[in-house]
Amino acid sequence: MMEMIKVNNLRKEFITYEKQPGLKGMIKSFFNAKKIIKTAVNDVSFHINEGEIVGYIGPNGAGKSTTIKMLTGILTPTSGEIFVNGLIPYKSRTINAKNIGVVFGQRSQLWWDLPLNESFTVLKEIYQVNDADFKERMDFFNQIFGLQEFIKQPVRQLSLGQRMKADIAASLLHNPKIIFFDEPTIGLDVIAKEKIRQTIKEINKKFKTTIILTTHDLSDIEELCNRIILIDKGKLIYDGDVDNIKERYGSKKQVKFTLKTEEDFFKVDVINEFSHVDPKINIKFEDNTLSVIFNKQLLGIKDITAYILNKLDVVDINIEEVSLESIIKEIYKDGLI
Amino acid sequence: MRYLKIYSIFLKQYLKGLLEYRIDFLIGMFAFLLDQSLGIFFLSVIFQHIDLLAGFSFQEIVLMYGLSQIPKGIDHLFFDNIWLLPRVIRQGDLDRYLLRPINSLYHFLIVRFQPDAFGEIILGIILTSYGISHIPGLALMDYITFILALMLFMLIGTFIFTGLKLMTASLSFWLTNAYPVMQITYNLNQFARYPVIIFPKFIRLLMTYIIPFAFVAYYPVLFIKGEESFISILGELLLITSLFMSMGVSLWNKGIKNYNSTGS
Repeated sequence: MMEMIKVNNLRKEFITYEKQPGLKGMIKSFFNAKKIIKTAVNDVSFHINEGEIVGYIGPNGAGKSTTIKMLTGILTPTSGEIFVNGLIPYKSRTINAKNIGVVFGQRSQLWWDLPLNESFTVLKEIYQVNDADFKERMDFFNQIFGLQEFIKQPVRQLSLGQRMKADIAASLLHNPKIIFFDEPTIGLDVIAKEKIRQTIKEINKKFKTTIILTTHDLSDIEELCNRIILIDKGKLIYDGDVDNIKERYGSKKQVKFTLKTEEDFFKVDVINEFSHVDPKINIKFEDNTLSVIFNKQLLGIKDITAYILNKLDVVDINIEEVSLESIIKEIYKDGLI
Repeated sequence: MRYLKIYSIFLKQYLKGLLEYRIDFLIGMFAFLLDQSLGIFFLSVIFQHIDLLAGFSFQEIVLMYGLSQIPKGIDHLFFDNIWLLPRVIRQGDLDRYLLRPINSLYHFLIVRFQPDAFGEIILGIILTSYGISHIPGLALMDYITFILALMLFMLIGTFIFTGLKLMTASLSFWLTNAYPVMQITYNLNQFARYPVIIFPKFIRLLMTYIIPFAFVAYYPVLFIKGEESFISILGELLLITSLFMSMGVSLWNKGIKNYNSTGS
């Protein structure tokens, strides 16, 4: 199997200067600024094979985007090695750019004032896509995204969903070997999300495209990825099967009970009651809300709600999946799996 | 070839936009011309009291004024996006220019086209034609040579503006805001409208050797008066512009390596 991405001991530091408040502080820091080194990516290594779909995840500020930007050649690493399809991105940025497609969900890569169809004409020239391929691919995008409905509009006038579709289509036009999707479903409705996931899957299957996906949406990962890489505070904390994580954390559920009074909390003892069934059951209490986190394969929601409702006056009940963010926190706290 | 094709798509789009907003465009241009003609009016008032300013006639001063507008206008027309670089860098918007398999500087320059600049170019051409047609004792052949020589000077002189802007704007890769530096150095071009000889020695040296806007209009007029040779002006212009442009481009390239983007 061919290795598409190799990252060894990658590190990126950002240097900022401390700013002190007030005029006096400003003058002081002007002459004697204190250097602050922030390590955004710290000794990260991983290898990705051709045709893999990898979820690259972590909480806000974990260093996901910084890594992606180094892989695309936007940022130069402080130290460490990167090879993308055999090229060093920051050294051969323009050649590397031909092999990759990039979608930043937060920020369109298209030209704001250009109508969408003109944007595609520009991309056709930039990537030197021949007429036959161009036509075939545009037909494909029209079919899945219905681009023709808004193809004459300038990009700045598109809705978020239309813009995202346009950006994804644009990233695929030159049929890149590797695609980086940074939050491709952010802010989209369920139908649009589903469409985008389907497309990612299809592209991967049809062209063996390698896909790196960063997202906060656990369901994106569940549906698309077989492997995830977790980072937190710039460090790699997990690299492996999604199933493994799911088995351990994905089956967790959280039920939140809003209580009438604070004293009510002391009238129940959830842990004592259920720990013989689910030894890892956990509770939190804040703002009059009692949260119970448990494994749904061991314990039923019915058991817990019945127990609480029997004993207490409950104002509101809320049932949630445990968020990816809290899973990562838990992994970070407990160390590796 | 591919680069020109890409540019033509952007240009076509801007011209289309121009037609759409032609009223705004015409009003903008009219306002600019009115504003500038006040300057010319004051010059003519001054010349009612004097015959020569530092040895230059009214027509020669008008010629200088006109010549100073043309390269400024051409730069303004094609390379206006450089003004936005400090903000683009600060907001992390430079990412998009680094993600495409074409030269990042080229990509950055072509996405904006500033039709307001037609005001400067048209004014420049009018004033230059007026100035040059009032030079006494010229044969037809002289006119043709002069016009060709001036066109060459203007074309090269454009890159004094572009190079200077590019050099100062690229400082934003290291400074939080390089805009004031850009503005201060660029605004020195206002001195280019008048003979540098009327200014204090410091400004004269600055305008000739450091930020040599004097080559935009002053020296070309001296050439027409027969006081400077064609070759020496051309040589110096080429030297300055290639120096400015190569410094600008290398600062840009160094800056790209130093680019930090933004958080997300």
